[in-house]
Amino acid sequence: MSQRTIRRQIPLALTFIVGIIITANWFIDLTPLNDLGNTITNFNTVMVAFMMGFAGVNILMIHTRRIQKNMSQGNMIDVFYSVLLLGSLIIWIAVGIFMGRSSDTYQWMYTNFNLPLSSTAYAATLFYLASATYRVIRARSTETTILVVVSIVVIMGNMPMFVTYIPALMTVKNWLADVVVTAAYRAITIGVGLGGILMGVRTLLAMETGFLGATED
Amino acid sequence: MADVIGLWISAILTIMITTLAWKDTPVSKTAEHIYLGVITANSIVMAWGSIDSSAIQKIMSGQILYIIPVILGIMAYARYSKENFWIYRYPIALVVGIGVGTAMSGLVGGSVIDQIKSSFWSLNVPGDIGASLNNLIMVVTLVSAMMYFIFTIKATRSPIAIKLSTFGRYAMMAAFGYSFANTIATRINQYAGRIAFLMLEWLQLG
Amino acid sequence: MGENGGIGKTLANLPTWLYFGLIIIAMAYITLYPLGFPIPISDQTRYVYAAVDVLETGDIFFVNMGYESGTIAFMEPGMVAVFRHAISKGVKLVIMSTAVESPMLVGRLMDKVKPEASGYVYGEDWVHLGFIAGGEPSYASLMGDINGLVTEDYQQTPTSDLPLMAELGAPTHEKIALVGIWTAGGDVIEGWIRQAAVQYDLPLITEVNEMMVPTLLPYYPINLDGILNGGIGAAEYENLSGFAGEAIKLSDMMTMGGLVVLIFLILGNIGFLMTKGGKK
Repeated sequence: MSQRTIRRQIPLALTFIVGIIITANWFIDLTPLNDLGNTITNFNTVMVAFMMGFAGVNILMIHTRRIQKNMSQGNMIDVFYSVLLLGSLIIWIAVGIFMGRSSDTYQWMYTNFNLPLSSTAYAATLFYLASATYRVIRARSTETTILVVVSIVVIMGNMPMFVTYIPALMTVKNWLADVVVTAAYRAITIGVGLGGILMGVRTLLAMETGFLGATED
Repeated sequence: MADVIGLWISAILTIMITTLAWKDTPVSKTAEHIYLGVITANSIVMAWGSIDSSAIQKIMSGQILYIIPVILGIMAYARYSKENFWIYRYPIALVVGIGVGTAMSGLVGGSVIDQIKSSFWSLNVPGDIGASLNNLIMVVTLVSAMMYFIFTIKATRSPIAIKLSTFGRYAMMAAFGYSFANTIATRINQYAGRIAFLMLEWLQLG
Repeated sequence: MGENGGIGKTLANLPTWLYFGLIIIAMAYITLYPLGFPIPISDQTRYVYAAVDVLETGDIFFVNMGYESGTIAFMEPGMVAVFRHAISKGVKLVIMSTAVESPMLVGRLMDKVKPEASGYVYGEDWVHLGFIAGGEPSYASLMGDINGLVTEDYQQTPTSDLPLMAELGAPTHEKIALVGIWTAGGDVIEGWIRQAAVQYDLPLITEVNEMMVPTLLPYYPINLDGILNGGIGAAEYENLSGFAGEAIKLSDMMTMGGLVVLIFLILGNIGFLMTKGGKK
């Protein structure tokens, strides 16, 4: 077998074979096929879980390099940041795996570090959105005027304070959701669905091979 | 005692990372780096739990077949070697094939057939002119929004098609306006949670 | 025009610190002095309520807790309200997670739900399976044969020791009365729509963040039985089910924060129309 066959064609054939088995499993109710389909999807869970480790390896590689570079350049503050990152990464993994993810220690670390940091990092995006709302969302054309007017009505409709005094806001908001938004997003859903099917067929037929990576054979 | 220390750590980290919205400072950067470390670590810890439950325990109980995904999972790390990068292609090819096969079958039913089937709205609802009118608006909106994505429509130079496509654009802007208003609600709710934590749990003002 | 332009320019360029400061002050103030406006209930919230309300004692409610701490402020109150409602009906709960942070949030969630107060026993009436990797193919596995995929719960107790898991033998989907998805990920809810609702015609309810709701409306009522609209929906559900909790308090904060954003959106546009827009 040539190197090309081993390194490229067999993986593409595997994509096609498992894709067909899983697709057939959806449409055909046959116990051996269903069992095979279930086993393959169970395998997927394990493989994907392993691949979740890529994030850790990437961070380890990037920040080890960064520490070396900043040490040589005397950027001690950047060295501190990288050491802090790698230190927390290693401590959390060690406690989570060796003391157990359901241990009180790991739960305490999660509640007092991960939770405030993660929830605030997401929440802080409010300020970027608020800034954009004030400085960018302007009634410049017919389209943007529609967007601004509908936004104002729905923002008001989302607030009990306005709905209490103007009950019609709720009616308008519900009408927009049930009629205009449903129909417009349905067009997008159908389009995305058709696009997804097309992309899936192209992938199974080896016409999309980007997932194999850019490295040459 | 541990609870009090934890509460103070939470509050200080909340304030530290909030300063990100103002600008990048050593304070926000410190919080950012801890954040990146702990969330990555947590995802690895949880992934290990999934491997343990879905493979290791099975192998220990005699289901030897599950050694296959473990080996494939380890093979995936060949992506960090230039010479052996091709080994990584085996597990990723399988994951992509399984993912595509699973999603594609459902897309046919959920995103296409069911969507089209439920778009046959009655244009004449007996005794309910409002419902008839709403259904008409839905049909026109759906058709015109789909026409907007047919990029060759201008070449046909059909004035009706062009007008419908323009109406489709307006309808989608209305839908995006709705989404935008809801996005604001989401972001405010997220931040409200943090303010409530600082005011009620940390400062105990309420 | 010059004067208008001056006022317009001022309105369109108010300082950011004033804007952000007002948002924070308004929300902080209202935490201490709630408005207490009645919360109107939308149709979608009623549909979710109805889907839970038809469940009977002993029915199994399969839940994917797929939110991270970023959306905990409104996902958790929604989940607490729905769980309390389900528990009041004697429904059994099977909880798993597709988000890596979710398993760490189950403890505080159940502390608020207090299933033991209703006589619920872990393993018999509710289980927590923890994080399950793999995305949509894993949902297919779970619906096919949950015990074929998962061998232990989050506390690492073998699933063979949990009577509720024995009830969920293959094919698992036949034992499930309702599927509930709490997530901030579009791929998660769409994956579940395909694997539970389209494939097995299972009733499916969801709480997603408000910004995702419009993208899910086309799936109602064919594949989705109801959508809780983030924090707004959670407050409505609390109001409807009579389990007043954190979402109702959050609703006031959302109102005040939203009011500041709304005022600035309007001011920005007035300023724009008085300057550039006016010139056009």
